[in-house]
Amino acid sequence: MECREVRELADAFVSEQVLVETAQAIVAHLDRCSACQAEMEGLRRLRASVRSAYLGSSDLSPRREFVAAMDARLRSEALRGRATSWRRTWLAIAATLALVLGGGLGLRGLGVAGFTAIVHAAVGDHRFCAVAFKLTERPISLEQASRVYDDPVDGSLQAVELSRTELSGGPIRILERHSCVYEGRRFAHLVLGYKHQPISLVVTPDERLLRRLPGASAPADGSVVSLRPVDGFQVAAFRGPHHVVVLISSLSDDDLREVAGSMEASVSRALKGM
Amino acid sequence: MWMERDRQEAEDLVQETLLQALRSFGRFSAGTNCRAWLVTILQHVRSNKRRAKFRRDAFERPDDRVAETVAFVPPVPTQLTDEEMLAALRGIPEAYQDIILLSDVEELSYKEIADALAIPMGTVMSRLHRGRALLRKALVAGGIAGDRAQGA
Repeated sequence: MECREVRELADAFVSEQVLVETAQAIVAHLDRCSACQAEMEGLRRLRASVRSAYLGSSDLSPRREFVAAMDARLRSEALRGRATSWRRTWLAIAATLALVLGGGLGLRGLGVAGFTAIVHAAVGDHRFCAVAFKLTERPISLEQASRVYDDPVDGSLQAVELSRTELSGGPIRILERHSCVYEGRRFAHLVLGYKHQPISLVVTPDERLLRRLPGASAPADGSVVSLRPVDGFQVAAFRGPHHVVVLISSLSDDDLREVAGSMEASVSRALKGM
Repeated sequence: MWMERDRQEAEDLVQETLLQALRSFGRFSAGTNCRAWLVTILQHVRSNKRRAKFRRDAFERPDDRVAETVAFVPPVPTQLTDEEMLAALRGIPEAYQDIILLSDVEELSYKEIADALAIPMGTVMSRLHRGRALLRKALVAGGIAGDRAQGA
């Protein structure tokens, strides 16, 4: 790949919108071209600065009075709807209001709706990657992902080891670890094996998401919360120093919480070292 | 709030968007990106409000106006305050601000941005490229990039 082509793909590359094979070719070029390397670092810096400036601005936060007024208005609208759809409507209210509480549409952060989307994507990744091996894009190693996408999470997960190899139901082991893509989202993905079931452990980008988990009160650091099952899979989560860690499996809720509890210390330690 | 500049306008926009989302929630597909869906509704509401108020389509002009003005792209400064970045961002045309925010802050994919703004993916890519280039020029115009890039 030549400089001209790399420069044309630079925006898509830093936005993680290129196929992994293209990304690998770009990285190979960057390894031998300091000019393109500098340009890519500048673009990453620009992107990070935009995000930091926007999310850090208090002027862009919604007013509490506005949020309260929207809460009342949406509940009033929902109650006018048909009784058979009340549960779905309440979920819509909860998702949209939590979005506003978490920062508002286009104002700041992802909020619960964004976290819910991530959890759903993580479950999809578990189903199509860990269970069925049917991803459209081939996973790459965490080491490779760390070089290509410059995300310290990839390197941290590479260093995670089991604190215990035996749980109440038998041995637990790490089956594989890699970086994979499901529906446009890239996950640093640890696959564990326990009671003959695969368990996916993925790391989400923002620890603030854990404050607004649906169906769970915000836990202190180190505690595991169970989320609502998604598509028949159990989901649990715990808060790391800077991220939320989500586990998905077909195990029972108690078994998955035991696995999550056994992983919490080592994963948090690895992420803290970033 | 960013898009509308005025808090009252922003709150009206958010209120209208959430009400429309509530009424059409049955059409939302579980498991897809709810945030991207809400952004799509917001853009439609915003576009309708603008058409009613100004009777013009602003989306085609920014490309024409700046097509030939981004020949040289200066380096990105190594140190940048949030205020400097926000000021530079406000200095570029709104169509480019929207694309940059949806990509770099909301982290929507190109397809999600294209769906939300009802524009082709190719347009998303070209506007993002031009928007970032304009942003870098705006940082220079603000006297930031030149000094910091030279380590002054």
